[in-house]
Amino acid sequence: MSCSDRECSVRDDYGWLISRETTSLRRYARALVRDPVRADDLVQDCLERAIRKRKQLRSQASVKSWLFRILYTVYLNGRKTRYSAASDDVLEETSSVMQPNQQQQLECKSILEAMDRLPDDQREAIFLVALEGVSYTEAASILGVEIGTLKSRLSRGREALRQVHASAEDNAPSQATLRRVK
Amino acid sequence: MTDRKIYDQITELDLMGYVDGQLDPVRRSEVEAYLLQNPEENARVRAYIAQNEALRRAFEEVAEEPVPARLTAATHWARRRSAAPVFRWAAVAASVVLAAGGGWWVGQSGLAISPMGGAQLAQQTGSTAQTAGQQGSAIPASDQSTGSLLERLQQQPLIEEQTISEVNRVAGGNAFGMNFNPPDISLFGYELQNARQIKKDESRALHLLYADAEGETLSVMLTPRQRPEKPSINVSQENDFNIVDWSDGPLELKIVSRRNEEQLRKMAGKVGESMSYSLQLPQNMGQVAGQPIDDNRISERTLAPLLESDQISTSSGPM
Repeated sequence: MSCSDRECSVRDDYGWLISRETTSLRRYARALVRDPVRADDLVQDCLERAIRKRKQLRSQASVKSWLFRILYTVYLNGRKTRYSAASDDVLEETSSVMQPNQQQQLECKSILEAMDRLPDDQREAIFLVALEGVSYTEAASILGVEIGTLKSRLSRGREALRQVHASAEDNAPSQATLRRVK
Repeated sequence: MTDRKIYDQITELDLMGYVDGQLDPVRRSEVEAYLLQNPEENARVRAYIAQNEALRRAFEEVAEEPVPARLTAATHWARRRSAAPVFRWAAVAASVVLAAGGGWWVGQSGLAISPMGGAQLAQQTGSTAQTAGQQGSAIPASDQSTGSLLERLQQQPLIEEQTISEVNRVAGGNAFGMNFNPPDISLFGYELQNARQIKKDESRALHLLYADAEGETLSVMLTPRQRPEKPSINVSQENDFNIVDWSDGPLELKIVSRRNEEQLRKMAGKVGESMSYSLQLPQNMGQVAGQPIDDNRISERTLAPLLESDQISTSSGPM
């Protein structure tokens, strides 16, 4: 592609600003979609849209928030179709590939199973805050809700997870040490 | 305020904020005191924290995976690993401008950094030493040496109007600048104590001074990148210090610390990850095109005052 040094440099910077968030975007996409290939489809769709709309960056408070808003919007559009793949097989694959340690593998599987039982809005909020460490203000902006709504989703979702965990421990006392909550 | 009043004001949002590490130190302490008095709430909060940890573990290896070529290609449409620093100065420039203008742009860290005058700095230095002393971990000689480091930094030029116009001159002609929040390395126990620009002759850098609870200091240096990117992390030693350096987009970064190489490599990864960026138009842009400054000299000139003394660290000695 031919461009002047300055044009190339500025484009280069747009590309860098966007690409440096790829890992975070992949992590959140993987959590939402689970299937690694479809998750990367989501990230690719997000990045391509971001590049198309790169001039919006000038008015954004945070590049990361802007990208996550795009990712989340793209995800909502395809949640039931293009990016829908949260099957048991995928869950198994996700946890077994990621955690060689058996205890951690069980723990991961347990929490991901519990997450899958949550309503989508709670799951999406918890993954965003827990995995990416974004501020509540940013998270609310990314998800397009008020902070109070975000708090409510976090609170209800976490309590539901805790109850699922407690009930799993009651039903399988022999697994208690493997699923211990610190 | 009485304990009762504080406890009455602890809301569910505070508890969620505690779980997610989003409270300021004062509120965090109040929530901790509240949790000590409320075992059921404490158990609930601990369970939520464990959930967060389990979720992070479940996806932590995504960061270790190579990024698929199709994703790299999506943003590579215009990327060249260019050495041309046309835009590069703007990065540090913008942050300095903001610092002088009444506070850095802060992102997720929520940490407000305001420009400090000498009195404030002295006060902060004193309070840091006092805090360390209260925790019983300070060593008299080390206290003194920590102070002397801060004193040395204090003598370096503050970010001033004059600097701003110089910086704008250098940034002039660029389309826009970048702001970034200071790196968050609280995961390793370090909190930001002081931020200032170091300027010696024509070289300049942002020096961020961090300290942990024991008063051990660590320096992060940010300079505009002038050379081709070097994504790998280099490690070197000087006196008793380990130095890691790498480049990240428009910046070159260095961490100087007594911590070991493995820890510093992890820290370097966290530094990059914790910095978020935004764009802004530099003030008075376009006045004079800036000349690239040879910042190969920065490492020697700006680190030398830090490295020449063995009085920086307070890590050795009885706890």
